[in-house]
Amino acid sequence: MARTAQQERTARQFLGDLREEIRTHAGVGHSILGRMKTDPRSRADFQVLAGQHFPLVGNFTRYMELLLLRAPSSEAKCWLAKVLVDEYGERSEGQDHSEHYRKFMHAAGHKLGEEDTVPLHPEVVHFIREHYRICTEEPFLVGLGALGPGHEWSIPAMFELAVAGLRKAGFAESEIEYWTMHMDQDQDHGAWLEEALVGYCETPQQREQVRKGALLSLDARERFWWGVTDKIAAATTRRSVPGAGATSDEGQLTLRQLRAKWRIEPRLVEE
Amino acid sequence: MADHLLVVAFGGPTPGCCKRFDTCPGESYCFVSGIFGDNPARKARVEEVVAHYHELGGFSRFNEITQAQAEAVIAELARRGVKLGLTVGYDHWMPHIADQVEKMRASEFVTLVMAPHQSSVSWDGYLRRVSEGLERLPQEKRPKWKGVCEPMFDKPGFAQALADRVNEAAGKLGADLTSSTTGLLLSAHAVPMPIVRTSQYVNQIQTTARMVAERVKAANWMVGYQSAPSDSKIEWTTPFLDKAMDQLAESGASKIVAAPIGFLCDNVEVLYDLGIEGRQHAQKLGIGFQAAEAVNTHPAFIAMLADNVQRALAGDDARRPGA
Repeated sequence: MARTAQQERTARQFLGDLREEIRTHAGVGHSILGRMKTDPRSRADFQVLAGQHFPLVGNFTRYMELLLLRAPSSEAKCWLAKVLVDEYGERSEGQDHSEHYRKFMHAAGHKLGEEDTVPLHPEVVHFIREHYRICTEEPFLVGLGALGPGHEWSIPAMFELAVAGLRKAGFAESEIEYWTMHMDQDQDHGAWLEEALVGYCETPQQREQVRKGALLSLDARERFWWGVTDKIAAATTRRSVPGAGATSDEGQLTLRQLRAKWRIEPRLVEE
Repeated sequence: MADHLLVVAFGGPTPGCCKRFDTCPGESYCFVSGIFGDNPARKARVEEVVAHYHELGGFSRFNEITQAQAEAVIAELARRGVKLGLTVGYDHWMPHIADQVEKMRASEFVTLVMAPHQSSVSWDGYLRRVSEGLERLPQEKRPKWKGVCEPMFDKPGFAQALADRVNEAAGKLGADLTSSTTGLLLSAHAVPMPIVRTSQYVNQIQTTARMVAERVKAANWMVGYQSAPSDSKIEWTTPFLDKAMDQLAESGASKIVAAPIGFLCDNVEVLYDLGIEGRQHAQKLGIGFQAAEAVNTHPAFIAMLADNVQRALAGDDARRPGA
């Protein structure tokens, strides 16, 4: 059935309100980002941040692939596929997003091949687990809300602040391409997304699901930034005053250990 | 032997422009926005907290009281025959810790962290600033960092000072702490759960609370957490103050004595979030309310800090750089 003008107006109004809700979410406005300009971070701090952020980068495409399988229409599949093609790094000679991120990690001080051996804060693990759950167990539109508005509308704002901090810490532009690339690319993805979403926000139930997904993702994001804050503060103390720190990373797993423990599989279920 | 004491703390706004903005928006705005960061997403929260400062005159006595505490510790140590130089610095206001470390005239120093309970955002955050200051100096000019005083949450002197403040407040309210009709609310700063998960913050607060409750023979007490940002959607330590007060009232308390066990001085969070908002909530509940003073320069507290410094100087119990 064709969309009425009223339905389109309501959907666009909802999406505008959702954008504003995302813009002012405490996950997007976390103090670790807000203070990048006024309270500069060091390369060592970004080394810690990178160790915690890399697992999110490496899993994002898998959430999308899982969600793509559940997309109810070709239109939704097209949007997800377009974003995925960018994430895979089409026409960039094998430089997918994880590769760009590795380049940044090495610039920040991580050794080649050891990117997945960093003990992860429990909130990093929560973020990944929560997004797998959202994309496989929640209704499709909740997943779309999480990966769409929850990511594409929040990342440009968050990364703008992060890039200011990276530049202050002395990183060269070639070392932070992952970050600058996303500021532009996610603007495009966000715009495509808005058009795609209009058709999925016609009923109150649809709007509720999209909003729920976005907020679940941003809550996980707020927790993630607190985890990074915790790790950075703890790392400096451990380095300069061993034994005097307030925290322990006992029992924390690395990405390599998580990969060995987790099995992510789309499968046929017969009822 | 260490010849200097470096005292580090959170800090609060005092008169004097920090020069962060071209046009000065006022010290309390600079202070609060410095904590949350220069981020349009948190504008509303920054303005909400700045309003608390304005209601109390626009400034905080945090630095003045911390300086007095530090000087009292130095005086107590001198009385015991231990002479030390003193430097005080703050994480979020001038004079900043790193700047103070850079200027410090010392050959060897110990650090006293003015945070009663340990989490990465306070304890580790202040120590990080010490490292930053040292790293600004050429190796040959860096004073030796002998150690960090052990935490104070379980020290009898701290608990005794808090207990005395509770008894003073109960006296003002005419409340009998040994009766279940008086609720004792022991308050600490709320912390997001991601920070709590890796530290002993909550356990340390419970330890302090138990020690205070035992000393005042409280029949009806609980811990409450305050000052969580209203715009955060994730889980923070609970119960928040209002819910803790509701619980005490439901348990039969007709009067509440509230004591800031997670704060070391009467800063704006103690005076506004606990003192003013706590009283307003008590009025809603129709019960009596009295907030206790923070430990400030209570003699038992100062003596306990001096003991901690002496142990760090001796190398006992201190957490040592490079150990």
